[in-house]
Amino acid sequence: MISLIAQAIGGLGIFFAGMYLLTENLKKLTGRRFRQAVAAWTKSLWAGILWGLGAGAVMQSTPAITFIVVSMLGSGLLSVESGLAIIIGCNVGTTLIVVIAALDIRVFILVMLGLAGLSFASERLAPVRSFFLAVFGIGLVFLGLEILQDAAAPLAAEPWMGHLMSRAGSSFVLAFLIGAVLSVVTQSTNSVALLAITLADAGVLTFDQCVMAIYGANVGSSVLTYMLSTGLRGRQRQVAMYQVSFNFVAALVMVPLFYLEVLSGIPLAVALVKSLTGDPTLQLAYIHVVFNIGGAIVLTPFVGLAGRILARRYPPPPEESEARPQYLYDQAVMEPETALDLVELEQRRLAGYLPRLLDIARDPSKPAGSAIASRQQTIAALEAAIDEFLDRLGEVPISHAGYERLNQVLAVSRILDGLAETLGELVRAAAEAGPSPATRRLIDNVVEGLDAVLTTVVEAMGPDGSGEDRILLRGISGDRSALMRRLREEYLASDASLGAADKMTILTVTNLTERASWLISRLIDALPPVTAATPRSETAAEAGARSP
Amino acid sequence: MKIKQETTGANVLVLIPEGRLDSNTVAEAESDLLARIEPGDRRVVLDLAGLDYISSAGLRLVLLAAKRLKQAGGRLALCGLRPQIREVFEISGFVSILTVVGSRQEAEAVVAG
Repeated sequence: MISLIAQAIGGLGIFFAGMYLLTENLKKLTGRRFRQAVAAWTKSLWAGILWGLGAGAVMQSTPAITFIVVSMLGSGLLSVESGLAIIIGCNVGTTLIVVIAALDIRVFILVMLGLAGLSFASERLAPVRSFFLAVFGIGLVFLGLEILQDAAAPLAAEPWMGHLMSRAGSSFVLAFLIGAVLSVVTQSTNSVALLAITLADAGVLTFDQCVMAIYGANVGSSVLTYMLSTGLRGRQRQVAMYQVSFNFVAALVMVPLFYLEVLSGIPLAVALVKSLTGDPTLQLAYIHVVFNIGGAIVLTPFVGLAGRILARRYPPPPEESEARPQYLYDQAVMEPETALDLVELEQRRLAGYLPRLLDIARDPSKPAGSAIASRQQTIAALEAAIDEFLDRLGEVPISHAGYERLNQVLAVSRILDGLAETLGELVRAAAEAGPSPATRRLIDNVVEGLDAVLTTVVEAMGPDGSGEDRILLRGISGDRSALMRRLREEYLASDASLGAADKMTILTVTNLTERASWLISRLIDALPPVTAATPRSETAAEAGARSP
Repeated sequence: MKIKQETTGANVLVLIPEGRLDSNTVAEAESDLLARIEPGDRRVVLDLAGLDYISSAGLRLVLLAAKRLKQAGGRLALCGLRPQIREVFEISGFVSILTVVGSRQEAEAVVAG
């Protein structure tokens, strides 16, 4: 029993490690051409379904494919609609085991892990390491799920499982429920189906009860996906929950049809599989296929509606939509002048996220690590999208003046990148600072001072920022090294009881503030000149609403 | 947060905010402050000696007041900054674009002259 628990824990760990490797390395692989290729391959509903069908047939694991789709969504490779189409296809594809019965998926996984792993030994393959790491991640996702399911599989051989199923008596509902429960316990629809077929052969269950047990087992198999997806949010959760609901929707259709067939004698699913083969075991295997095809037929016309319902039910967290460009779109590069306007708007959005990094330092009682990482991820994702757009812009013919502007926005990109890193370090230093009143006072003052100037710069970056604001800001920009040296000396001398760690914090904070101030000055200098002054209407109260 | 007011013989409006100027108090302080400088007083001294704390929102309110006065052809001078308040102004760089002096008399002289 202990070894089974250890196997389950190990399987879970390998699964999540695989998900991490896959998502992180897919992010690095999502160059424009790769993203465009994936978008082209999955652009229609039917193309998505076919990819899902193929992936399901080859990989034979709906949860694994679901989580690969989840990773691709997380890295921006796929749209939710394409993800839903793949889910529909893979549910049908995984039932085609009869077609590829000879393929041992574990052999496939081990070969995949082996080849990807061996590639790490070659320095020549270093440039494509992200690709092999992503493949290695896919292998680990499969291996983890296999190990997890193997840990539960011996349960199907336990005598009490047979006893439980034989309790169904002549009831269809009980057969369905027991099938669902056993599938949750064993994490294997096939094991439950095999058990049901064995009991049918032994005369414990009728053929019709077996059909209901298999329907129930399909519904129960959603539980693993549900449990593994509880940590997901937004679009990733939407797709995972679509997979969970697939089997419930299929059951909502197939169970009433089953009753209709049994009670009224109208030939439906059972009659269909009986017409295909005389072998009861194969007939039950086909029932599994028919159940999933039934679900796919019902769900396919409503992919758009399902997407909208899921988006309402599991709305993207703010950081998910914040990380995506609001103004940039693929075709915009065709008009370089307008494209540069859009880049400036996007850069202003990005700059607007920087003061929120400083917010984290305002409340030292809250854990800062995950908040910093989350905000820096949002900033990095938006920066990457802007950089990619600028790369593409560099490939189209631009006027001489356009190149000047391109150079300017490239400079702003680098400055914002540096500011995000510096402020992240500053906030991290603030979070790790001790409770000494002197260091806390310094941190508070730095946070408020930098926030005030950054927020003013962000306002001036917008199209409604007035020329007067920008002139004013040029007065603010300047060297802070003398000020920081003075503050450093004053704070270090202010309290004889300061420990070495406090003194180190003072050095770090003043250094980083000096660097942040220099970068802010560079940003102010890089602001484009304004030809017509446009008075602003925003008030200081509005601007200060998010700060204490 | 409350703002006391005095008018000197040279027709200089002296505003004396007291307490904390942060995001909890800035909305009220903004409407109060702007209401007092907009009717026509163009020479204003902000004596911050009674200010215990200023956040970035407070700093930006001071900047807003300076901009409004400048647009109307007026003048603003700040005085009485406690060391901690002065430090925040220095770090932000606002001290370079605002008129900041030590005493009330100096401030009155700057805006009156």
